[in-house]
Amino acid sequence: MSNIAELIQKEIDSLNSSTVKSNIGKITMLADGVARVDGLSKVMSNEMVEFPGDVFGIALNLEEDEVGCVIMGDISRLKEGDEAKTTGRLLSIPVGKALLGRVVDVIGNPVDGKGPIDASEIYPIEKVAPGIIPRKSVDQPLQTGIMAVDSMIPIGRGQRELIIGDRATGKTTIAIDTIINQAKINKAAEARGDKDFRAVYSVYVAIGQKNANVARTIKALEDAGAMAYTVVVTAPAADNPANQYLAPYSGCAIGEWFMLNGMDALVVYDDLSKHAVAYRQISLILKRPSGREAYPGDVFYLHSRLLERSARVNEDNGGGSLTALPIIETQGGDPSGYIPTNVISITDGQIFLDTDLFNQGVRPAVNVGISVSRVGSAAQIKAYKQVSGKVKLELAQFRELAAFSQFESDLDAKTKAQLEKGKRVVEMFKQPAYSPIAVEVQTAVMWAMQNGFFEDIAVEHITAATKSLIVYFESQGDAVITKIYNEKKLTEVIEEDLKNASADWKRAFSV
Amino acid sequence: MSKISNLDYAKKLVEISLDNGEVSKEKVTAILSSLVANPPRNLKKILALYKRLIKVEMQKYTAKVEYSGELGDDVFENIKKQLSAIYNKNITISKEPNQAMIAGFKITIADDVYENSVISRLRPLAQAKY
Repeated sequence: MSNIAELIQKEIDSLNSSTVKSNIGKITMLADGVARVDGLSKVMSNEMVEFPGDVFGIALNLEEDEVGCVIMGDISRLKEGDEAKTTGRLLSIPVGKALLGRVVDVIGNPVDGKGPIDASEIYPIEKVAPGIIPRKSVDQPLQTGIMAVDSMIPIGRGQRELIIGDRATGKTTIAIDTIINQAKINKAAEARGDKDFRAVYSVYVAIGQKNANVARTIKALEDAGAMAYTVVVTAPAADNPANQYLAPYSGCAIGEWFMLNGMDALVVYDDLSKHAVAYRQISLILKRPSGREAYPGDVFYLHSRLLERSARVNEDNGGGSLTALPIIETQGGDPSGYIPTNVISITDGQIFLDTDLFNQGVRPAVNVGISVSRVGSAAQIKAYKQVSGKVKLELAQFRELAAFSQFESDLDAKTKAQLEKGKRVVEMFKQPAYSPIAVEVQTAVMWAMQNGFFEDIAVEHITAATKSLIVYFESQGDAVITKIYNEKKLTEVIEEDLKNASADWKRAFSV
Repeated sequence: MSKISNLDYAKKLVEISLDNGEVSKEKVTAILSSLVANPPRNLKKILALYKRLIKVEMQKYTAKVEYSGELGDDVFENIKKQLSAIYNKNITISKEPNQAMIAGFKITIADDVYENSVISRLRPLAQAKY
């Protein structure tokens, strides 16, 4: 009611308005989320185009005689001959902290039934990435809470780290764990009243996924209390390809707002393989020339312009950051496909998840050999660096030796020791889903492993022992954990405390 | 010899149909007679494209003025003068009374629309979600 009254008042206020000039066209063809429009001679590339019935599209193909538009929203409300009108605006979405805890569609409309979003700002979904001058090196860690990742493939704030693997190997789980861990860290810092702490806000973008999967992910985030720091952007499989194509850019815009306002954000694109497929579908309907695997020629640019927007900006520009965790699904464990190699070359490293390891029960199934973080130990706290420096190499050597030793029964003592330790490290890294571990606790557990506290425990009991040690450090041993948190490095005193705490745990531990 | 598409063929025909930037009836008649006498392949398709392009070309200098109520000749003359100045060519006016507009006018020239009518202001009300 008040809405109508406001609208009428607005009309009364604008009675003196002058003539409105617009540029129009007519739909000549309509198919699969794409409209070809005759006219629109003054339309700009990527400009929003208005169709009847409050339907909007984006002008993607500017040709000599017609314009190709992708339609967002309900295409069934349009028909050939309908009028299209330029708007002079780029596609923009609401941004800001009001979106935290909400699930939105590609244009920022809430889809969670929790009412309208009171966002104060709108932001264009496509924007040029920050240049070289406003950027800063990545040197602050972004902890995932996953031991195998934080110790061997550390991620920094502002980095782009690809999560790649076959279907059902735990790619989304790693991303969700990371989001949950950020919420856990944020809450802990709030509880401590730490004023210097920089919270990390998360954006999860679901592209082309089943609604059931998206609902499950949201449930996991809600159960872990992470939704308060998270925005979910969804363009499910049932959505038209235009929405799936635009969803990552919307998510990026939401995250970028945090970065440009001096905050830290994490954005997960789940997944960019489906994004590329949606873009291929649009491109083929737009009759753009196709190339390898029928993808259009600019499929590299599609992902590079998205991922380049992740950055850490310097203090003059607020010092914020946007970390990206794109996900790519491989076929048959082959990372040399077209889209995987493109995204591997754009990102600053990859976490490769192996089906065989997953089936062997090694979860997270991180393949250490071909996983890498190009930012490396710059994104690790010193304490963790001190204890985990050699683990990646040791584990890679273990895998090699394990394969080799299958043919050899008589091994020398050194090799045997390496194999035994390797087996224990593999067991230690096994971690259930949605249970991230604080980096200080990880450091303490890793210290215990490196200092022989697991040597006399049978390999099959290592996982239980690790769990028990984590519980110990989180309860009785929290004094030393607090010291690691404050000092950020292992001093002699801390090492002595760790030794005493580990010995204390060992005495009490029984299988 | 490179193949010429139907669209390019039709575009060439439009080019030669113009006289000082306007479509010449004589030239169009001559082109049609010539095409019928020496029909190219896909004549029907070419003619359809030719028709569409000629229509577009004519819309570039023909302003359709829809209006509601009484408008004097001086108003149309003024509109013609203003549009000719904006588009830098001689614009002809086609008058179309439209009572559905309630009051005001709408000028369409090529794909530009200038509108100031009551109906255009009421349209957002009709589309409002409440």
